[in-house]
Amino acid sequence: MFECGDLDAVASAHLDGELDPARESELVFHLTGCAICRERLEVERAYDAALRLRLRRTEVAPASLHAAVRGAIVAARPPSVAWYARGLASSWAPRFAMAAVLAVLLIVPAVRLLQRIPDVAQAAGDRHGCHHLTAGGVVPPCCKELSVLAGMSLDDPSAGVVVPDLTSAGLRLVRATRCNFHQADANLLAYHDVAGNSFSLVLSPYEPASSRLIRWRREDGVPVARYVVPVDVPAHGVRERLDVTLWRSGKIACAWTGPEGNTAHPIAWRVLRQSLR
Amino acid sequence: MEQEEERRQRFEREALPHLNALFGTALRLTRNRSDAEDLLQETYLRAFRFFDRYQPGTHCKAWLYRILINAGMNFLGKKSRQPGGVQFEDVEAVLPGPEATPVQAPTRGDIALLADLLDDEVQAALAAVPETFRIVVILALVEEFSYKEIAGMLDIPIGTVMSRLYRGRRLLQESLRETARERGLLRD
Repeated sequence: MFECGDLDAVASAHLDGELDPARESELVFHLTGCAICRERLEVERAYDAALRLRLRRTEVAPASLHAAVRGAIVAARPPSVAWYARGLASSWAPRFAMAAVLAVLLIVPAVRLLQRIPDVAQAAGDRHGCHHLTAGGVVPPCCKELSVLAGMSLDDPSAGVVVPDLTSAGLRLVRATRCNFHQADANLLAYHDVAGNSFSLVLSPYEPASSRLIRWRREDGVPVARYVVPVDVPAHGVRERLDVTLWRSGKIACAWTGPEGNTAHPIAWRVLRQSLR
Repeated sequence: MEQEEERRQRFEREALPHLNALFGTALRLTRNRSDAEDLLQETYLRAFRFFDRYQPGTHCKAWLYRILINAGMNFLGKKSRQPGGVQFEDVEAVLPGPEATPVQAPTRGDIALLADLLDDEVQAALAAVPETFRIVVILALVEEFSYKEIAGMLDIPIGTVMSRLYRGRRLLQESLRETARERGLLRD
């Protein structure tokens, strides 16, 4: 039996067309004989309709977000079956083999050529050697810039990370930087879009699929963003923390602040952004 | 097997057209553009990684919203765990149920007030509603998902969707009245 006092509890579901059919029938029957509830429900319906209209403001995502999302998708490596697991019987295998031979023939001389180019930034980075800095200590500019092109593999035997070509997403590679540590390297790639907005891609050498494309913030002040990256180091059996700070000038500073305790977790790489206060 | 490039193209074709709609919801959830953009990037990356689990022909927008809400809950949870933050479960626990009728039902005066408020004020009033209720209000009133879909996205029973939506509507109504009071449009 439906009573006037029940209206409040069912009005919301009734307006959304989600009221249980049996309860709906009781409500309808009640409304035929109750002018007060009819008026109340009519007001509720009018208010609800007006509210929906006012709430539905169309928001348009900025173009830079479209670019960032497309770039992140292009850069992301979805979990997929490795080429060797698909079997060499694939009809593409001979073509891949041919391409690999050609790539080696072309890339090896190119890498040798690049290695002969004196790299002041690299030398400076090596000299600093920012291993195991104390938390809260001075953070030196310990990264070295790499001379790489989109599509090249970063020179890291543990990684095999290829520098993503994001031109299809409207992003141009402007800088590749690596922070060196005992067991882990953070590969930080800087891209620009046509409007000059900066994007950085933090590439994990361990789990490329978890790498992220991150927008740099253009704010006043020197440091523009700071990332805290927990890294499990199996060789040490400890969890350590990598602080990465992006500076307005485009420099990237890093600090190794672990160890923070033992852990049995598998190698993990997560980027947690913390806004600078 | 579907090639990676084909998969990426299919994802762009099916998922990216919903970017603007998701952006609006991310904005209403996080209450600022910068966080909304970060949340949306995270959402699309997750969606791309798990695109194999999406069944073609099903409701792609609802599938994306589920990921957005999950990512958003983590995001908002982290924020609420910061010093000074409040766990929304705690808020829900102390709020009265429908039977207590915390706010007077809307009147014709409320409809007139709603017409006098600016767009930004309406959005600000929605932003002032606690997250637990705001999410349900957005999904039901703005995005018009069914209760069943909302229950699936939030992993809660339909009955909880109904009670949260009831409370959310009333809290939003009170928030709008408060905004009108501040503007001098309403006097107690």
